Amino acid sequence: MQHGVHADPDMLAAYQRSLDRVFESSREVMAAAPTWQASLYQSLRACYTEMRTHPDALWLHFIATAQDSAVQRTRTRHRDRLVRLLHDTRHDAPPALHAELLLSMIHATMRAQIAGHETPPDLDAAEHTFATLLFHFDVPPKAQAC
Amino acid sequence: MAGRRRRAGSPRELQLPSGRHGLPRGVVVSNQRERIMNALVATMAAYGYGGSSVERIAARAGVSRRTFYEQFAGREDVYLQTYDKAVGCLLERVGAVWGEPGDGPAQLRLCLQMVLDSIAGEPRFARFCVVDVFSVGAQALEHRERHMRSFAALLENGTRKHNGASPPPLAADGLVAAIYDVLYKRVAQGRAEELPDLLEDLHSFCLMLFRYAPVPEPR
Repeated sequence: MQHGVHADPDMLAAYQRSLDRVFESSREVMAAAPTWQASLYQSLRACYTEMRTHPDALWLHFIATAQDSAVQRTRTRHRDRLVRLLHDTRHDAPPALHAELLLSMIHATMRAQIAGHETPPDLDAAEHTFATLLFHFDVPPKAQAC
Repeated sequence: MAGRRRRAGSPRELQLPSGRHGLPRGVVVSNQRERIMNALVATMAAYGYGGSSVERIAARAGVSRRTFYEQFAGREDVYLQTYDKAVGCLLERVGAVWGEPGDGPAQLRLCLQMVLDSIAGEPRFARFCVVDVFSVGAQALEHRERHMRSFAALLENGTRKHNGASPPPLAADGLVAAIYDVLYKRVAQGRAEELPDLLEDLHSFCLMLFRYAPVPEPR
């Protein structure tokens, strides 16, 4: 599919609806997960599943975001609310900046994998990336203010 | 122009005296180029890229359209050369830190501090390089990708020097992209001055590159 650099308003609105569904499903899974890493893993899994079933949203989320500031702002707002949700629901959450960086890092890694292939990685490959970055990098926990 | 005060920081401040001044041609050309580059940064801060016409940039720089086109192919060319010069200068300084013998984590901290302080200290330039690059076009995005890869390569080399092993594939690129996201958000929101406060948290996160323990692929 050929895409221009800028997303039209309908595509952006559909993308926002996809992100809202991801957020709602994250709200359900985050509190129930045994650790903050597991809760982010579940949230990322829900996000990637949603994106794979909506190719336009996947393209906006991973590719157009590096070319279009409107998409970038939408994705940034979504990432920020996920970080807040993590903090509000998990007493073991890492510092907000660490969560922000980790989500961005996973996003960038997935983006590189998607941009480098004709078809996006399947869910198993994506889960391996999430797990590697969430569980095998030793981000030290920090005492939380709340 | 006699008697009119020039604004502090204005590209016209750099303007050479008109008429016969006996300066070598190279000095004149280099001065004109610098004024045009500074004028683009100032014009984009006020009007965005879309509103930064060649006329506006040339007027701000105090050069004629003809002189503008003698030095640059167009405003995109000015943007790309200014962008490459600014980011290239930061890359060089960061590279110099990694090039010295020393403790990897401490060098990483120094590099991060350098980046955060540079951006916080020059908010207009920061916006020009970090945020406005998205509004210039495909070529500017390619230059951005190339510079990000260069930062990632520095990080990979620094980690390899310290650990004796490379970080996992894409980890350094992912980390650079994540740091960029953090910078972008604050600069776009006009909060660049807060960036130096992030140093400790940013550093403790980035240290993960030095602590990474590879695990076998599943199945």
